[in-house]
Amino acid sequence: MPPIKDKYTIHSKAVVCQDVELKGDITIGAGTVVHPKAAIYAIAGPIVIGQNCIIEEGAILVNRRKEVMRVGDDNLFEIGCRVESPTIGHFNTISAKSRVHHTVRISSFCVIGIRCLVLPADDEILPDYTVIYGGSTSGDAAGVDAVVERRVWSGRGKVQEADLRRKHAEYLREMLPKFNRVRRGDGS
Amino acid sequence: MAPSVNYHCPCLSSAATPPPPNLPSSSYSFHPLHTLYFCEECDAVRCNRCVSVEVSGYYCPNCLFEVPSASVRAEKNRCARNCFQCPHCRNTLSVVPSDPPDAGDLTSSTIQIGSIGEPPFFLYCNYCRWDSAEVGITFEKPTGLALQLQKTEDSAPDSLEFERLKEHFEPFLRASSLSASTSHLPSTSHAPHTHTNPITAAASSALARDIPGVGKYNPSLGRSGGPGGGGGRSGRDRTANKDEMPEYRSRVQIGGAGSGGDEDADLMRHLEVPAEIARLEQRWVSSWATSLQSKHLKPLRIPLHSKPTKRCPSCRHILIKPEQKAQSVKYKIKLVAANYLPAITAHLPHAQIPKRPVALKSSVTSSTGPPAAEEDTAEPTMVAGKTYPFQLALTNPLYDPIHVRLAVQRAPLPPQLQSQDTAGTTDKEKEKTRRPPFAVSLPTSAFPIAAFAEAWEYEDEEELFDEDGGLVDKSSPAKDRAGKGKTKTVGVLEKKANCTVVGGEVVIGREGRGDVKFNMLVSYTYRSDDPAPSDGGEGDVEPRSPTAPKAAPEMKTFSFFTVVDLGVIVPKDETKVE
Amino acid sequence: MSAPGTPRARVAEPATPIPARIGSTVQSSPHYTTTRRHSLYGTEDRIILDPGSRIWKVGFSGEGRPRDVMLVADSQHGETSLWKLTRLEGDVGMEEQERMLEAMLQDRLRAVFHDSLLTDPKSRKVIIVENALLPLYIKEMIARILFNNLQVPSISFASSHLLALLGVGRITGLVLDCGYLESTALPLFASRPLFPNLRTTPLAGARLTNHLRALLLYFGEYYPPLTSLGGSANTPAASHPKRVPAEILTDAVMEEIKMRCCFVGPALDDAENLTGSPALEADSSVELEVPPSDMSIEDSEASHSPSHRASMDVDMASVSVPSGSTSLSVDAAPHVRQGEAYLRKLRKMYERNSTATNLAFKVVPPPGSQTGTGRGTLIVPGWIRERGAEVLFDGGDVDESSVAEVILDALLKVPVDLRKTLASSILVVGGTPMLPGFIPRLHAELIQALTRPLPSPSPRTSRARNTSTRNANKPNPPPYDHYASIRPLAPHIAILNNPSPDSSSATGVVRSSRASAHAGKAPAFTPAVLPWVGGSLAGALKIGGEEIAREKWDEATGGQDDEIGPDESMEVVDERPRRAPHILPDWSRAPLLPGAPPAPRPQQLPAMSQQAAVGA
Repeated sequence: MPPIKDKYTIHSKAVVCQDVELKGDITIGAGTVVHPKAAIYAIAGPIVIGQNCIIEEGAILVNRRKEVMRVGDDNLFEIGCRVESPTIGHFNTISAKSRVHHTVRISSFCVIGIRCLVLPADDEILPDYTVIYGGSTSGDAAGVDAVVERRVWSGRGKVQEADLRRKHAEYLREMLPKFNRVRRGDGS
Repeated sequence: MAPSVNYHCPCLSSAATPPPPNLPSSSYSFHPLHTLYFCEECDAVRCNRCVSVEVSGYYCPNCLFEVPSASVRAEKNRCARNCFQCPHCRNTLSVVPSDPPDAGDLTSSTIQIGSIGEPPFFLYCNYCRWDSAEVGITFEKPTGLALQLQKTEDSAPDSLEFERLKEHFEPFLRASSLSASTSHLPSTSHAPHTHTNPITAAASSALARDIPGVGKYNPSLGRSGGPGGGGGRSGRDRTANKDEMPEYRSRVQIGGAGSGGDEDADLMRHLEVPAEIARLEQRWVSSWATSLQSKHLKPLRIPLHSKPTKRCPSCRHILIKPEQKAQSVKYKIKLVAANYLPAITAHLPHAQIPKRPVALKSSVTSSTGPPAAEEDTAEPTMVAGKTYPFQLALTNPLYDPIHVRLAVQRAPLPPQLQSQDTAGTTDKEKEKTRRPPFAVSLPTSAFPIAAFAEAWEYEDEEELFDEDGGLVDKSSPAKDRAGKGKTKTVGVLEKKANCTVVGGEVVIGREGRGDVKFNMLVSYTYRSDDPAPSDGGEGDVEPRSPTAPKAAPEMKTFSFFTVVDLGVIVPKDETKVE
Repeated sequence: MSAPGTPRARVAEPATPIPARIGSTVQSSPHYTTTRRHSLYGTEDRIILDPGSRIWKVGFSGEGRPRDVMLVADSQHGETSLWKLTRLEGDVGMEEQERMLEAMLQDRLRAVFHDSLLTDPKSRKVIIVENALLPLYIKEMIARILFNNLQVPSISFASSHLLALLGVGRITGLVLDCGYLESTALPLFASRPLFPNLRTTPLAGARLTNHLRALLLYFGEYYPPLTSLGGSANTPAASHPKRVPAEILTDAVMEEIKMRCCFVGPALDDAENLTGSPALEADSSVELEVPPSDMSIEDSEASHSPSHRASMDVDMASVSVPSGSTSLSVDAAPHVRQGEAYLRKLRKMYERNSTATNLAFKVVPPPGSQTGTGRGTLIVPGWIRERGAEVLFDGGDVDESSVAEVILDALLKVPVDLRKTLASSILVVGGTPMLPGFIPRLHAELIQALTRPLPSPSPRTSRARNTSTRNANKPNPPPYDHYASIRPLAPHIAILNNPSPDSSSATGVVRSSRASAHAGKAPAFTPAVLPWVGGSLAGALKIGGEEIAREKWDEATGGQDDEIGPDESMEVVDERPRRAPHILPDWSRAPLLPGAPPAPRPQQLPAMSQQAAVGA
């Protein structure tokens, strides 16, 4: 594989902390917040992140495919999650320590539960409002919970959640720069 | 597996000695020290299997509301406030208002909703995103939810049906009691049951005292039941098609969804995803035929917890009494065995290195490897045919110094087979009669453990160590180290504050197999009943009064059994492979 | 409130809160808003305990549903039930087994009071919902723990079959309790259990589980999870199905499959069976391959059905499956393998008779295999889902009657006068009948067994009848029809809690008016909980059966009021004989009371002999 050429495009309204590991061709949209110690690796193809996303500490976004990995708007990547989905829609929540394999495409309003492992054998597109959560307590002490249940969310309460998400991002955009050094993209 | 020491509670068996440790059932007689209680009156260890438990208070684990015991029953041991569990993932549900109606364009960044909630409210699971609106449960206001739900719960078909059943049977019981007193009273008051009275009475008297029941109306019953005399009754039966009682008419007959009929079979036949069917645990509490499908599951009220008071089963003295308040985790009375019995931990020196964090293993072994090099450091287990030292660290919780004597339990174990072996032999018969595959040596003489003193918790241990037991202690580490080599491992190895480490040795037979697990009798002698338990712990330490306690006050001895589990024996041939 | 202990005191105030108080709404504190009575549980409220070998149901009397239901099997050690049908022989083994059982029972019983019900056992009378075949030593153990360890004031034992009948508002009927270890049919008349007429079979939940497991091992497909998580972008195409590893079919998984996937289809289509019979012709040879443990079954089968060959051809399902399933009942693969050819035959037939969809079931991969990167997928074929339970309906074996046969056998034993009454009030309870379609199918089986053409035990179409009657021309002795005497009962057969009484009447038999008046008229309580509901009812009506008070127990057991061992000062060497004298009433003891009856049960005796008389 040819050496990855770094190219960061960070919108001026995005907040990306200095201590973030970026590799490859990465575009970060307006209002998106990337916490320190997060990592975004565009290994094979570029990664494009939309607006108002929140990427928390220890979250890892990886693109293993040639095509562009598109992350929509208002997604929340919680602490320690690892996401390799080729596409991600809007208003998704990827909870802490979960892992999403590159065979899964995520639509919108999906929730991947804490410590859940999403690893279908075939390519799969999670339809809108899919909720994946740990169904039982049988997950081992470390690592991820492979025993997951799946539901479809009715969507009730999504407006409130979206509102909360916006406020969350807004607060972070205000507070993070006060305590962290913020990185500016090559072209903003 | 790290070696463990568990303590015996004699409640399960009336025998004075604990069961052989290799019996699987013995695990129910031995408990970790921290789960045990100590009754001062009886001077005995008590465990959670024998203490009698009373409820001193109920509370909801979610809202920590202290539920008055009066309402506990009516609420069926569940929280009557706003606490609900998700039927799918058992997470706690929260009450949320509905979305504003104009939830059109989310992506436009102009969502403006305040915190004003819009009714209807519903329960919402933050984890799996289930909400109660899915099953049609919504609320007009966000408070008193259980009360709002109460209506539906009370009119639940099962409780209505149950009341109806009761009403169905009650007249008969009444009739039977009447007719029992005044032999044949026409049952005019119970119009619907018009068939002859004796049968009614027989049936109901039979009912009134069913099972092994007393046949008040033996003649008639015998007649109806016996092959010979049943003619008249069964003739009536044929024509009138009547039971002894009027037909019970169900409020709701079986046959709806979920009652296991064709409808359900059809649903199952065309099922695509197993998750559509609710799990057994989600359905089994329901006594009423309810839908099989998981999408119809209802929210559950959160079960209450109780704060138990525990009493000694024989003298009724309180061993544990929690504080009343639900928020408090303190106890008013707490007589735990850890405050009375020396705490014992076991470890195998040769196994200590690999027990370090695995990540550091390589570096650790390289640095600390040499001392234990002669042992197979990679394996914390014991190989058959070898001899291993082990260490027992005893910590004295008392404010008085104690003298401890350890003894491996001799073998009174299998009823007949009393193998009076050497002092070091435990009875560890694997196949009932086989001899134990190992022998244990322990120091035979009593050894002292200094008193517990609060000060020691704060001071530097090293200092104390020098101050207090300089003479004895200084030699012991050396001895310890020297002992590593071969035989000099048995005896007191180290003394530090109120903790004494003694060494023992286990010789494993060539054909040894199974666990190295033996019962050990621990007896300790302490000065009893001194109202002022000499607080000056440090001053009091009398390390060299081994067996003869200073005349002093009265000395008392307490003995208890423990089981020491050192781990698994690795058969010889297996290790040869590496 | 009436004084406790007077059984026929008028129940003026039912112990339950009556749902008449919904209206009042004062918002301050929800606890005092209702008008329900603020009583703690009175002693009136009994605790109803339904102790199965696998699942316990507990709650308070007067309530319509149990407070808690719990799995009591020691699943951590791979046990599927707390006790088994067999009891170890020999002193050492049995003692140890009993010690284990007692310790576990103690655990569970303490948990019932302290964790589930949150109540003080010392003030609670207990009603035990007792299966007629609950082993005496277990019964004694339970009593011992309740009295000695938990110190309950009194215990009464009530027959689960009777209580189940109470739960549907009756006191006469024929109750089939199809539980985990065995299925038991017991006729009851006027609230008297006719114990001597009790019939039982080991075809029940456990057998079903084992059969399903065997079928899945052969015909299920297993897709292991992806081996590596990090893998490159090229997704592995759907991996190949593998043979199902035995380790993944744990008890928990099996129970879940049973619960979430399985159901009972209608009776097998006979016409198809006939067309398929050439394939099954070779079956006798196959049968010989099954392990020797089955030989007894083979023999009995042969002797039992004179038209052995015919039964093989026409209705192999109803005859030969048990042998397969017994051989397969163990989880060990090698044992199973021998029956493979046989199972394939089975599959052929079942597959034809099933329209159910295949299901993908997520399972945790076996611990040893590769890496834990997700769950594997187990494909449960539709025919297994639908036909797995056939094993319960396949009779023809004297030792292991089908669930239908066990009912009919009990009917056969019942005095002639009662048969019609009992036949039209059959009640099916227990966990296994919770399978959708079970009860309608059972009804169909009952009818079939009573209407099948004579020589061949197999029934149904007129074609079958013709052929088989012709077969009867063989020089065989005149075919023995086990159920000849109850054949006229066919139109009267009615299952009280049949959820689909109408559809299952489509068996060609015209139902009598009595049958239609009874079938499906029971309230919609689930079969599994009916005995408990009946117990709750009995408790509320104060008819819970004879109480054994703790004083009586203590007296009988020699004042052994504490089970705390002597402390170290006392040198007690031998284990005290812990067998309680015969203080617990039990029907099985009744005929064995020739000598002096034990003191504390004076009025016990007449009742016992009475029951025996009834049954005789």
